[in-house]
Amino acid sequence: MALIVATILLPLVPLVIQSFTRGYVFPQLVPAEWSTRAWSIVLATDGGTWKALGWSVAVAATVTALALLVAVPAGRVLGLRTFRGRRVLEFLVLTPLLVPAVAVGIGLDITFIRLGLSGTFWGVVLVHLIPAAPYAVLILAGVFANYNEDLEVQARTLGAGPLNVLRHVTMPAIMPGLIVAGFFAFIVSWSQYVLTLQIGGGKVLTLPVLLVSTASGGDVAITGALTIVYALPVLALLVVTSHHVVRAGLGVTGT
Amino acid sequence: MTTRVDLVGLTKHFGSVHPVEDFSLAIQPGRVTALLGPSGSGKTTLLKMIAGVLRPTSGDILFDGESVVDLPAPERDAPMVFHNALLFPQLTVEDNVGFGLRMRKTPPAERSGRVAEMLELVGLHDLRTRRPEQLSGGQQQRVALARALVVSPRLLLLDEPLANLDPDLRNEMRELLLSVQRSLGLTMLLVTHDQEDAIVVADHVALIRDGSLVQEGVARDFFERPASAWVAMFFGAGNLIPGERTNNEVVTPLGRLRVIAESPASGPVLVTIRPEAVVLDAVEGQANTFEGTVIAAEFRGNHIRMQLTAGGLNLEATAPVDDAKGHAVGDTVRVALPPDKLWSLPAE
Amino acid sequence: MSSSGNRGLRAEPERSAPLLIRDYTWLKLMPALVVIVPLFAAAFVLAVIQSLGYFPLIGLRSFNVDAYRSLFGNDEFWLSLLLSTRIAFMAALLSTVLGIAMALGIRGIWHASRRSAFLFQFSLPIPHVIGALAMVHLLGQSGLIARLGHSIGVIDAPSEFPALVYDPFALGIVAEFVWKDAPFVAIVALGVLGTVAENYESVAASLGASSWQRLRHVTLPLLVPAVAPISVIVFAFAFGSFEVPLLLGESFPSALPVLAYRLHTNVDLALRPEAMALAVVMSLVVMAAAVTYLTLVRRVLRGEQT
Repeated sequence: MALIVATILLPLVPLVIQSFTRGYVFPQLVPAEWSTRAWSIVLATDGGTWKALGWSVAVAATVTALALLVAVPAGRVLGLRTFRGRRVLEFLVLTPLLVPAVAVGIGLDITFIRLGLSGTFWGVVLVHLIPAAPYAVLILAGVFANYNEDLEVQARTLGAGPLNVLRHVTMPAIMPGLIVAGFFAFIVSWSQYVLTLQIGGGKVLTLPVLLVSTASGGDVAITGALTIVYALPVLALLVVTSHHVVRAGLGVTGT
Repeated sequence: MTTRVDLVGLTKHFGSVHPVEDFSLAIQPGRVTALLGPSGSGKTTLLKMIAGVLRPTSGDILFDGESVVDLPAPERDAPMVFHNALLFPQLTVEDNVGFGLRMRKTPPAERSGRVAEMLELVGLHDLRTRRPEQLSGGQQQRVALARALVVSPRLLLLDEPLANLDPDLRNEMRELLLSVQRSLGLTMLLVTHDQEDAIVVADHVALIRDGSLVQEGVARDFFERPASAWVAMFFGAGNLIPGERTNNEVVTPLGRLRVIAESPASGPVLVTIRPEAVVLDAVEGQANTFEGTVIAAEFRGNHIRMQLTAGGLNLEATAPVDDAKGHAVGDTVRVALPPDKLWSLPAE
Repeated sequence: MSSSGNRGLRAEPERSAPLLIRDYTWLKLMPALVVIVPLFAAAFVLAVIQSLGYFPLIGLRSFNVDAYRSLFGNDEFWLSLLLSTRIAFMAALLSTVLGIAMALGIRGIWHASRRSAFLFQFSLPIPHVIGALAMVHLLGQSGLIARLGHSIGVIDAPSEFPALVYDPFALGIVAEFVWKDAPFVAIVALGVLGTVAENYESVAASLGASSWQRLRHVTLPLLVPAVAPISVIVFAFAFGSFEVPLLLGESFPSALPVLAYRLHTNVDLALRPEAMALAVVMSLVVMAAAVTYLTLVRRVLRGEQT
């Protein structure tokens, strides 16, 4: 176990180390000069980092909210019902997970330009929903497969109205699943690079877009620092949701 | 195959949890022994140690006098049948039944013969090409039984095999277990929390509580001669009367009661009697009699359950459904507790 | 969801009701379908149409298969297809095998310690852009491992360190996917390896199955239905990933998504139909691979018998 965990953590070690150095070149193993220069550049209030962080958070949060909104009813149907045509629907919902993002971006390019969505916040949100929503549907379908609808009937017979049923019965029961589904929708959007590049057209500058262009600049210290800024929010999110993710076994049960 | 199994001081600890503690029991060859106890009492842990999938912390397990503690599960020939059948989902009925033989590399021809034989025995030959998900719960359970029988077990281990079945299927499965046992002369250990299963199926019952053996014997002993107040309650004795015993007499709030001589304990004791043994209309000259008042009478199908109060205590009794005397609530009755049905227990 | 009351009042066999209309099933799927299907279908249909040469924006209005002809006549396409297929295959295979092996190795500890479980999921939310950059600085010729090699005197100069990134075998790319996806497979596998799996294994052992036979005939068949879809997702993701080969791959041949992006953003607009054709081909390849694989898995599971 310790070995596995070490292997998982190891690749991030150089990035963390180099963010605190200056002139960290081969063959230095222990840096010759420690420095916080990169950090003061990356965290400078007038630098691009904060703006990119703002874009990333805004896009990912909106995508998460919308993904959950569409995934709860869909997950409920796919999890609880069997009907003719179900497999076709499942396939329709899940194919966007299989098809390369680049291909989706290429296909939508012209249409998004025509609709004026290219280079806009909503354009990027919409295109991020294509891979994010299926994950949420998949996870919530797994959650609803273990959900007992009779609880709702029970609540109705005890005098609860539809809103109260939703608030006191359905939501608490699916909350862990909702958290996991939201977590996945968020990280899918947060990690998205190429779709943002294609549809955002250089106007929606999220963290990964900034990071890739910074990395091609070749300053390893700044790249390292920016990487950490990009990783920390999702790691923090993992800390908060970890328990549920493990419990759900990712919510992905065989189909 | 009839194997005698001895459990000697078996103990299992998981850290600070001690599910089984110093458990000893002789399982007679060719008989059905029931391991009876409430859930969480360590029954399944014991079963898994006997099967060889859990290693005891200490103690020994002997098959025909030879220790099998170091023998891995696959070589013990002690297959398990679980309450949820656990049929391998990717295999058909006949492949499930043939599983053990396939693991032993039995030639296919011999294998299919034995599989057919066992499916015939459990009455599922027609369903041999089905998959587990196409079977009812009762059918799955029968396949699980056939799967265990096909390997000619030395000892058959059954973990609550009747727990998930409806009453009808339950009776059917009990009958099947008994007929299989009779025709094959198997040694069987049945784990159950249901006293009725234990009584109907088993020749010998071992009662377990918190990982330790509390009492063993034939089913009737547990009703008439319980080893402790807990055993009496577990078997629904209902009546527990506190008192002080000297020789064969106990001084109780109901007066001096004569009890069975060989019942254990003296000094502070509890006296117990089955509700069915309480006599409601005592005649002149009977021992252990006193007056009581009926406080409830409930129709229970094949009898009437009576609640009495006497000497500040509540007593349970039964009356026949067509009881001509028709005791009603509030009536005073003359109660007798026959001395040969009164059993005294150490007060806890 | 306000329809829950109505649903509860219906008769028992409703669960397998053949009609979609009852129970507002369609209505509930609509939001998801509205978002996913039109966007996605539009992307696909438009790509197909444009790849067939209908591209009014740049003055193309006739249907033809020129784009496909020129794509298939291009050597780089075949090299890229081979490369991407190899990357995806290796990534899926290694992630699956290592993920299952890890899960089997730590199943005991997993359910006992929550902290180790957390560390184990560490790579799960890390974006691939970071993973790729991490591999550059870990496996690159002047990366951490090369520096370690220098400090213990195995190599003198970066060029003596084997090329693990920007290399013809795409080892760095595969390593990145395995680093991120093997724990993903393991977590899914660990979800299956609970008490129920243990009981199955116990029954098999008591029926005479040795530990190898239990793994082969009981544990793996239980894992496959849950893990196979994950393998497909890993394959598809590795096949379609853009940033990982962009940051870790050679410039020629480049992985298919990188090639597609290059064609699409080329100043020569005449190359657009070819980019569209490539997008269509990539999508079809992944879907064909996924369907083939899952069909194969099902058949192998069903054919378990003798």
